[in-house]
Amino acid sequence: MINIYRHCRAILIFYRAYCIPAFMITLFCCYGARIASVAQIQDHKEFYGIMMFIAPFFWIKTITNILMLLYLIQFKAHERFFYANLGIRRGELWIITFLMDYMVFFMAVYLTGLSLKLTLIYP
Amino acid sequence: MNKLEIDSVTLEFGGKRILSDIYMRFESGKVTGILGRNGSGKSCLLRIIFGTLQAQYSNIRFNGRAIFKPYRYPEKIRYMPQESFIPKYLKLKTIFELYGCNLQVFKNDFPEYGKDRNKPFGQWSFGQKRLVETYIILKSASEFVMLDEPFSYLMPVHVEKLKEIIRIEKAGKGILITDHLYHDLLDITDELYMIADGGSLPIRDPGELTTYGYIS
Repeated sequence: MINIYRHCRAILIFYRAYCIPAFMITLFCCYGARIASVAQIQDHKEFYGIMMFIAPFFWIKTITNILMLLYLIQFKAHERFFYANLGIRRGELWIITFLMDYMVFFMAVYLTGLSLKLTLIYP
Repeated sequence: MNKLEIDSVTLEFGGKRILSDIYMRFESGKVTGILGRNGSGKSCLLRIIFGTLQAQYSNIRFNGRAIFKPYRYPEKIRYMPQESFIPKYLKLKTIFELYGCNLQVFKNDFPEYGKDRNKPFGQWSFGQKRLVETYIILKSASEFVMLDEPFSYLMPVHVEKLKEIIRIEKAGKGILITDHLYHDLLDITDELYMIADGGSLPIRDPGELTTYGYIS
């Protein structure tokens, strides 16, 4: 049980290293999707949902995540021993933090869409 | 008694053979030292044992059973690399908690760390960082620990204290050390190997270091 706690804590520590720039990019993507949705509403007088415009922003998010990963590999390579000594594989570290980051991303996109919908219902 | 053996380790970089058919055996309750010239492959050997460097061929056995990617088992082996490996933004409390070490005992041993308890790790001096890194690896619950140049950058009084801790810790684990400060190493090792020309040579007498050209 203690090991699982330490494991999770170490993964959160790794995520902390890049969560601020990752979150800024998420906010940028949400803002972009919102602008595109508003433009579509003005053109067609109807809201089809924010997810219609998410594809390009999803790829922006993915590419920037990969770039951040490459930065970590290049400039923080020795930190891998900190996690390896806790029994955490590099792949495991990246996959879990990517999943967490995408969860934050989709949650932020959902909330952006919801706020836009509420703005239309209650202008 | 736990036993760690490495066998037939062969490492090449770009066609140049660095390590060739290395055999070493480490036991719990003993401190084993590895000496060698710069670039002889000592650090590479430790990384091969830890599983983070892929050799052309290697066979690592814990108590006679082959083990792959040993770093997946921190209860069996831990490794301190030459470079600082702890994220800079962490505080001592977090680091010690993650590695299951007692921060209060550490502060009793090294009182100068008690003053700035909330200082991020990156703000300590290199020597202070080195000491923390060596300490957490040494004190963590693991059957074997490997320390790559633990005495470098430490002030003499800390080296003496660290040697004292190593002598205490070896009762419960196998300790593998490589360092160029060979006087300090000779002081604490029970067994000594030297890596020369890609091979491993057991050193039974410090005089052999002169014979092999490590010291003049």
